[in-house]
Amino acid sequence: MQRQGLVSLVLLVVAASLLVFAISGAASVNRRLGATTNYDRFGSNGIGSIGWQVPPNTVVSTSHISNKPIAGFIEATLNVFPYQVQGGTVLYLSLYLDGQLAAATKYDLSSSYETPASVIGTVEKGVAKFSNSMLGFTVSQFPLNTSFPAGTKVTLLSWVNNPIWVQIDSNSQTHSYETLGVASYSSLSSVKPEAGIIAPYVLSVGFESNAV
Amino acid sequence: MRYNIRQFTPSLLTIVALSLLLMPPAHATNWVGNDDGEFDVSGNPTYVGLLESFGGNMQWSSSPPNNIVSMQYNPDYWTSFWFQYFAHWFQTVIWSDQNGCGGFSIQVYSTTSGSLIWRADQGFSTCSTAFLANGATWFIREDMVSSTDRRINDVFFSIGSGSTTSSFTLYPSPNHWVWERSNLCWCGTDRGSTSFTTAWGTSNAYSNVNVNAISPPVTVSTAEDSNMPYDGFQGSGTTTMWQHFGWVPPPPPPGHCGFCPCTPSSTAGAVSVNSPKKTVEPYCN
Repeated sequence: MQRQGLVSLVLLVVAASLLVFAISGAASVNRRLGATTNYDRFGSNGIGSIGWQVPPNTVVSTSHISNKPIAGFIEATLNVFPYQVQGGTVLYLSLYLDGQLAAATKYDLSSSYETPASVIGTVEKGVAKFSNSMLGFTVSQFPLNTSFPAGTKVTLLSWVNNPIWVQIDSNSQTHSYETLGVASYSSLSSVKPEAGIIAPYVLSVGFESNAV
Repeated sequence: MRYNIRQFTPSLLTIVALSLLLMPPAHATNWVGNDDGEFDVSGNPTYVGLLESFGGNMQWSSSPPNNIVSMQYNPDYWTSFWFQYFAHWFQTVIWSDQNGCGGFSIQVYSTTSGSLIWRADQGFSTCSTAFLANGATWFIREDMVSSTDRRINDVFFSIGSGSTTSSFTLYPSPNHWVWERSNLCWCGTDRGSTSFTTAWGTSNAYSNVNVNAISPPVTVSTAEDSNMPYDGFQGSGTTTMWQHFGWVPPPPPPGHCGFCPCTPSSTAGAVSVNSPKKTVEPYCN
């Protein structure tokens, strides 16, 4: 009898859980999921058609200061024009918060893309204007176990083994820093964001988070 | 009091029945707004896309709160709840205002908490009202890592009309999320509902493997909505399945066929099991 009672009790708990689950699930669905157009972004806005041919074996560091607290996640996007990408091209991205490694990723780029970009006009000083087609490579950390205050310096390090055309931000108040001749790359646990020399152009790097 | 399974069964059935009553009901507004039929695939896809081709202008009288509309590629809520990475909901979106300025977006939410997990956004490289006019195309394709790995490697977005096109391929990282059966919503944004006044076009759901029609979900996943009608899918079980959205434009002048083939059978072959009550009546006889 005690065993039957235990079984009944378990069934009761399961049924009650189902009831709570059904109510809470039904109540939550339409209140929360959906497409929002307001988001917390800082750094470059990603709009623009000018690209700089980043030389191979070069680490480029680009930092921005968050204007709001960072919580939930942190994401960085580097925009690349799909133009004359060589086969075997490898792109590394590393994301740092106040100089400490948060996330890193590696991309194997294709030598052909469905909507390749084309140069409009001529290439001058390693810079060109492109048609409206881009690739957005991201690196991110979620969930963030702790939030970071406004004023946090967020840095993206990029390294590529073959030249690629990266979108630049002509309106940025910051600088990108480059270190030439880095034959291979691995993410360091901490970096000094201003290491190297000032790059001729500022890479367009946008960051997104879920501000508290 | 003696507890035994016979005595308890009626109580259990009562609780379960009560649970079912409290579950969200099947929507009476199927095939409208956020309650469109779904598409699934057979086998292992390497891509699954939605291509929207406008056969008329898209206009709306209101779309609170920001007067923006969106094309949402929404995964099924409960499928995501049970099978997606950590019960996340991986949504892809193209949104636009009335000037044809907008953006591409991936937004990932938790189905359990409703909180935003991750997102990435990219604005159109150019604004154009042609993006809302007859001849425009809106395009979202989710590409998998491989035919044996259903994780989403990248999302290809494109909006265009004539020679004006903005294309963007976004690579989410880390790429934990897998493709789940989905549907289209011509919707508002930011939890709003759009009142479209004119719209007409064809929505193609396509893949490298067969695409199958599924009736609208019991639980609508997105908070946004609209009055956009959809008709039943055609071509279910092939690699390209399509449906119309919107309202048939006014008949063209005599001698012109306008926006649809000049046959009275443009709805022939609709999947009966998934057909909505509303069908688009051909006008070119």
